[in-house]
Amino acid sequence: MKSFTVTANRTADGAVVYLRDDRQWTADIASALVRTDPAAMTDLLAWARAQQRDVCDPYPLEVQVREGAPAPVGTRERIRAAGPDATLRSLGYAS
Amino acid sequence: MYRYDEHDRALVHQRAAQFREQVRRRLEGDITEDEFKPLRLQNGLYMQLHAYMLRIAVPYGLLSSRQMRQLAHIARTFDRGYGHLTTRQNVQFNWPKLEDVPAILDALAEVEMHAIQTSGNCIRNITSDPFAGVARDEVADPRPYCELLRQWSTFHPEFAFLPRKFKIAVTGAAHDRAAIAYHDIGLRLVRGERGEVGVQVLVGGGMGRTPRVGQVCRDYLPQEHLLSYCEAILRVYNRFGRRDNKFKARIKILVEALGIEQFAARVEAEWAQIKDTALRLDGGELERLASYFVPPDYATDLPGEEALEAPRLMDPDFRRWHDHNVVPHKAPGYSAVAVSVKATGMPPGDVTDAQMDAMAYLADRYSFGRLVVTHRQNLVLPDVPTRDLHALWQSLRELGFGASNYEQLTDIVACPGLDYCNLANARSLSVAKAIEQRFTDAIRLAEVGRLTLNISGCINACGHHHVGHIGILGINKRGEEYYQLMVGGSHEDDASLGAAVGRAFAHDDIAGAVETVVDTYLAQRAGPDEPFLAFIRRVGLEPLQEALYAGE
Repeated sequence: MKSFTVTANRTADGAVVYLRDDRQWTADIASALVRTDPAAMTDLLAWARAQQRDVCDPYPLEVQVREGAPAPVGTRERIRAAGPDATLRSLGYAS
Repeated sequence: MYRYDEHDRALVHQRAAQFREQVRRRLEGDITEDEFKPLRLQNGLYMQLHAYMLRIAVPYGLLSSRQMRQLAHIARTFDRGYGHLTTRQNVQFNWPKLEDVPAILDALAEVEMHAIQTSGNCIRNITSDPFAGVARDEVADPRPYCELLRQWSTFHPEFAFLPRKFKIAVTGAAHDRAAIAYHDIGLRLVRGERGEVGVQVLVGGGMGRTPRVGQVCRDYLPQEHLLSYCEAILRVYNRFGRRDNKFKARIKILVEALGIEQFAARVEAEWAQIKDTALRLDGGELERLASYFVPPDYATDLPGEEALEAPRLMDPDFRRWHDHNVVPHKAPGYSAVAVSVKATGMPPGDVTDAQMDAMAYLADRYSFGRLVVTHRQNLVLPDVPTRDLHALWQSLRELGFGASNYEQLTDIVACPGLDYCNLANARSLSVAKAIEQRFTDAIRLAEVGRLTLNISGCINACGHHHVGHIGILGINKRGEEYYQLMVGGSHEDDASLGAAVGRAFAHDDIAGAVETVVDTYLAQRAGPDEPFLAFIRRVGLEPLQEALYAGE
């Protein structure tokens, strides 16, 4: 089975967030929840999509689990997970 | 430049107030993202990879120093200290918080700016020649025509839900610097038989995933019919353009499906119904708008190039900049200056709040308080006394804008790419930086000569890779970034689409591939007088393929 988490953009500022097991949103993908069961994922997505005040457009995201923690797959999700400061640093902005 | 009347002013303030209320409802959870999305897009507010992005309209790229200072204020107060010049002569902010956007729109409205029609399937910002009003080869100043089209297209109720977005460019010069062949409608001001101004109308050009060079829909249109004829084109498109497939919805697909003759015939039939209605421009409307664009009060006793003899002789860096970045001006004693904001170590088109403030100051001091955003992501100071060029250049250099690379290899056009954009397949800005780092020597760049380089992070082609002399297109291969290398594109009078050289390169190899192309050109060109584009058109792809893929 593939491993998935749930990700979205935060309504207030558009920041990338991931869902944790305690149903809080976090910027840290390593502390995101991981599911391998499609039924569990269906429930989680339904819950996440009901949180439309806090987040925009949640979607299921495939992750690799490394040393017990989820990590992003592919360049796009690596850049999302690394966060805006990493982007700004790589572009030459000290932040 | 155009000044708002009470209707314009009321309209943008009302829109800002409406959006404030919509944002409040979104933040309080009264409306969902699906409900909010069309509302925010109507105000230029996109959701990007890491944050919202606000796209602000800069009609035909023209800014007053006051507007530039306000943009600096917004960058400093509400964003992360910089803004981004776009390929539609607009300005984008990459990091606004949702709750701050209404205050940003209020700040924009204060200086007669807004973000209306910078997104969505409507008529977008009208673009033009960055040297409009000052170019020596100008037939007529395109800005009154741009402003006329802006007013006609703003909140035009019939064209609020077109099949797809719609872009119009106007050039008034003999030499096209507005890329009119790559617009849904491209307009060229020409002289008629009796010396009167008329319009050549191109239609169906565009880039994106189906790049097409625009075709002539009407060779000569009397200017009083400009709006009725454009309205007829939009009506034909609105009625017959495809709505079933987003990727086949642009007017270029319709023009191609019907053929230009059939398309033009439908436009003529529609036009016949409306050409003598209220859209006809014989009530002095163009003259009224032209009065906003009268030339500034040029001094008539200024020295010409002779004033630069000593600085040119004694300062080779200045001489190189003067040779490359200064454009002849129609008024004696004045010059138009292309300020390169590239090769600063920052992404192409990014300008900090301090640089914006400084450019506003320099515009006030040297250029009647006006600046222009160019579609190649630079700034123009249009009206600089020639004798002040050396002093201006020294100030620009202190800002990091002293590079003499205008329309040279490191004057790179790039979309935001995967560092910012949700649609992108690959990063553009890191590739721009890697190329920049290989070509830091101004003397070598001058030896290479005029060579435009455009980078897009996906097939939507926001970086206009199809029309760069060298074009780079980011693609996704199994989740990793690869880059297709293209050569031979042009957005000028000799408009042509670039051709792919061969197999794509990995992220870390593409800058080296560009260097190989440049080295091949330098080694094999007929001489220093053969520009890169002419070389490619003469030799084709083969010498490049040999150099790039030898031994495979």
